[in-house]
Amino acid sequence: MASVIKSIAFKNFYNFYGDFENNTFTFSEGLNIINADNGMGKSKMYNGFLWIIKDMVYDSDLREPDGVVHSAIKIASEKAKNTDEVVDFGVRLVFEDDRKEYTITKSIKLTKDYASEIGWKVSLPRTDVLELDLLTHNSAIVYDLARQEEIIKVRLLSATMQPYSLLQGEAIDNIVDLTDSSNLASTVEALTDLSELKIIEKTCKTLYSGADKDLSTKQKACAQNKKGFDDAQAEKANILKQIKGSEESIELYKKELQQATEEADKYKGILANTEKRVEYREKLIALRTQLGKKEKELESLLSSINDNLFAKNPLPWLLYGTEGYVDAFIEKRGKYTEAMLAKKVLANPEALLASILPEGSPDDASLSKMLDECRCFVCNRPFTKDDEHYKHVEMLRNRSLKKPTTDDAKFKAFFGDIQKAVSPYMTVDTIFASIANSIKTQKAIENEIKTIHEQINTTLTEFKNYGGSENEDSGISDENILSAYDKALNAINLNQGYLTSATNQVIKLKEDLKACDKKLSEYGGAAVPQSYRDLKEIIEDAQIAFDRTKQRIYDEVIATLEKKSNEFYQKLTAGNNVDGGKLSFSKTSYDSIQLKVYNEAGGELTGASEGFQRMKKIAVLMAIISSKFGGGKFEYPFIADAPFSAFGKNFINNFFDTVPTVFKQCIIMIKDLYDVNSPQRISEDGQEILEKMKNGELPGTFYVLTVPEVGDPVNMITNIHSYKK
Amino acid sequence: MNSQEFRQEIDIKRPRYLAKYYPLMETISNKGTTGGGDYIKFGPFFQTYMYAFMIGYHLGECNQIAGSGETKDFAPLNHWKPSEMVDYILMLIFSESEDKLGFSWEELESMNDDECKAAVSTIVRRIEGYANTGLNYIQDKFNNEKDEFRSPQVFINFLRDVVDDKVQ
Repeated sequence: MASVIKSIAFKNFYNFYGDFENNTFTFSEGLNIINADNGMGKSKMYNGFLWIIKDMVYDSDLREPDGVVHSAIKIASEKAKNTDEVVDFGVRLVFEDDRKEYTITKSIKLTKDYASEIGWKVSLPRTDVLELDLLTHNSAIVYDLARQEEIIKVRLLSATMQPYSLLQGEAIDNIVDLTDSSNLASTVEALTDLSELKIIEKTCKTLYSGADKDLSTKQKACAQNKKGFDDAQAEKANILKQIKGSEESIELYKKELQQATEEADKYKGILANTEKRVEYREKLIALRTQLGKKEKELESLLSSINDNLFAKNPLPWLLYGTEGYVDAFIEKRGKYTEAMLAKKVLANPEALLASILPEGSPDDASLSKMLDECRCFVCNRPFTKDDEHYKHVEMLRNRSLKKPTTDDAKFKAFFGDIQKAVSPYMTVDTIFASIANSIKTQKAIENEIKTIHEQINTTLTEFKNYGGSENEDSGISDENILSAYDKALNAINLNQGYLTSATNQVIKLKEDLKACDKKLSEYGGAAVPQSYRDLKEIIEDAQIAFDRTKQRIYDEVIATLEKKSNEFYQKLTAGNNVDGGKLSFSKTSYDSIQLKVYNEAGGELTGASEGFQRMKKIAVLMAIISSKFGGGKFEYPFIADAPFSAFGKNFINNFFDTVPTVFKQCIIMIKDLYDVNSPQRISEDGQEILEKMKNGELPGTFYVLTVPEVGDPVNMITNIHSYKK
Repeated sequence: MNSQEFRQEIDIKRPRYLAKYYPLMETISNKGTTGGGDYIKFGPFFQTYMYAFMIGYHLGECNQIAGSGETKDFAPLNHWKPSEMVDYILMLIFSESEDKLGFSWEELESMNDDECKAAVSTIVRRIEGYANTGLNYIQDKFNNEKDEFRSPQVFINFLRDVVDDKVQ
């Protein structure tokens, strides 16, 4: 079997809005690159593969896999949900395998349901599989669920190979769990068919047991001294029982020893990185404090936004767009005042005339002085206070004070009070700037929060790389780690001792067994046919031969794995200034394989940087994959949405040079070849790969994903640009 | 009736709104408190009402409440805060043309007490009319564009929408 994915298409799937034909990626053998920045659809695309292969998606909010039905509302295109009452969404994958082409479509239907809490009714997921014979061109729909399952879980990508084929995010760290040596051993076993030899070995054991039993029966029949024979047989049974018991103990000690060794390795690595862990822990605490402050700041800003609608200072936002309204009122009030004045004059014109003095008449100041001095300055005659002349002059002086006014207007104060209250709101044109500033501040804080989150994620990854645990802020204290390490070392010594003792015990018992067999043979005498002894010996020899073969193959595989891992490790780390060391595989006393890294001087390297750790894992992965087929290419597609940025530019280039030599088809979603300043959004390194593809030096396809520049999160859609099909 | 009495007559009035908008008022008001973590709530009933008034005023439609419709009211005008905003609303109503208002300022001068009371009723009916239009606008948004209410800026956005549409 050799599956090759021909295409994947999306319908209303996250940002991929519209029908399948509008969102189709066609792939070829070789390297298929989907180049996009964060948030443009890489991980969503990867989720498409996950849905087809594993019936799940990776929820980036929860940072864990989730069932498609549970995530249906999140998966369905926001734009489709905003425009349609019924939203059909799904993924379609076409792959070729062994002269057959299969089209797998998985879909779910959402129907608007106002009564439901989530607003939608979610249908059961549907799977359609179409099989096309590429020779006869006959096609058939596959209805049988078991057959559908076989096509997806065996033909497209076998379950045992999934851990090596689907690579996402931090999963790269778990792809080959190098801390669990039995995993590595079982992986090697699965990839080298050693299990078949183990079955033969088991069969030999059964046959040997049968031959031994037959021989024993014959010996007993021929024995002259029956009692002596029965005693020897009882002794043999006892020895066999003891061997069985000791072998069971050996298995137990091996298990304990393996567990203790892994524990010790783990704690050794952690202890080696204590300083780094402390540094990253402190950084995490500082970042989380900073995040808390910013989130409070944002919360305070957001909760005060509506208060601004009525806040007096600087101006209530509610008055946005009311320029000129107060002016219009003041103007109207002015006209009202004039009208009131005119009305009053018209009502009593004499009052107005009476207030006007003839030309040359003394002014109010002169009249007041005349009253003070009791003398008329016009005729220069004196008068006495309160006589008729005094009263005349007083009348003239008071006349001017009786000018017509609007004091009698009933509502002057009413309108005046309103004008006084609203006069601060005459100039409201600053409100727009105030709103804009608030939005700007909000965006700035949101960006800061986003940056801090990214920093926390990066720091957390570093923290974990150096042995930190996410469940603790202060970490298991280093004293505890030291104590756990000592405990593991003690357990190693103890179990190693038990193991040696039990192994020696088995050797001794087997010698006793031989002596016992000899005794039984003597009791049986010459009457026992030789063929019975021969059969037992032949089977015993075969058992030993198969065991040695198994050991030899196992040793060869480990040697090959070590050689190839180092070759890939060298290729991947080529050009790095720092020595990444040499990988070494070794068999352990507990039937497992241990991987260690040594420097040139032969010292063990622990706690290498994240980049080296990941490269080490990928090198082993590549070695495993290529060992299985004797240097051939991996028969299943390799699909990765991995954070390559931690490796550095050098590694990325090395990776792209090496990966097509290992895998027949690679589909890689990557952001490290994205350059926002390039017209095609492809970095220089990306352009080099693209050129190689165009020249035919490198088989494959090259896509770039983009989203509209002003991203409206609700209606955001991803655009697909194909630069090499 | 003098200025003070006239103002007192206005201040004791409780503008009404159609009872069908009560759930909306309840949903988007915080009944006496401001702020809080829920962004779609922005103030006590009277602030929601003043906001609705401004929306209706910008839309330029005064849909007065028909006599038979079931209505609700809340605090009298002199309890509304900030009081300057009540003055602003009165300013907007009194700035309206005589055609819309039904009387001129000058005519107000010569009105007797009953006529003044009728004028106050007219003013309050117009306040209700604009608020009614505004509430209808918000209700429509709430029914059809519920996602908008997830934004902390929702009420600013609506205000900007109606003002900007008017300018265009």
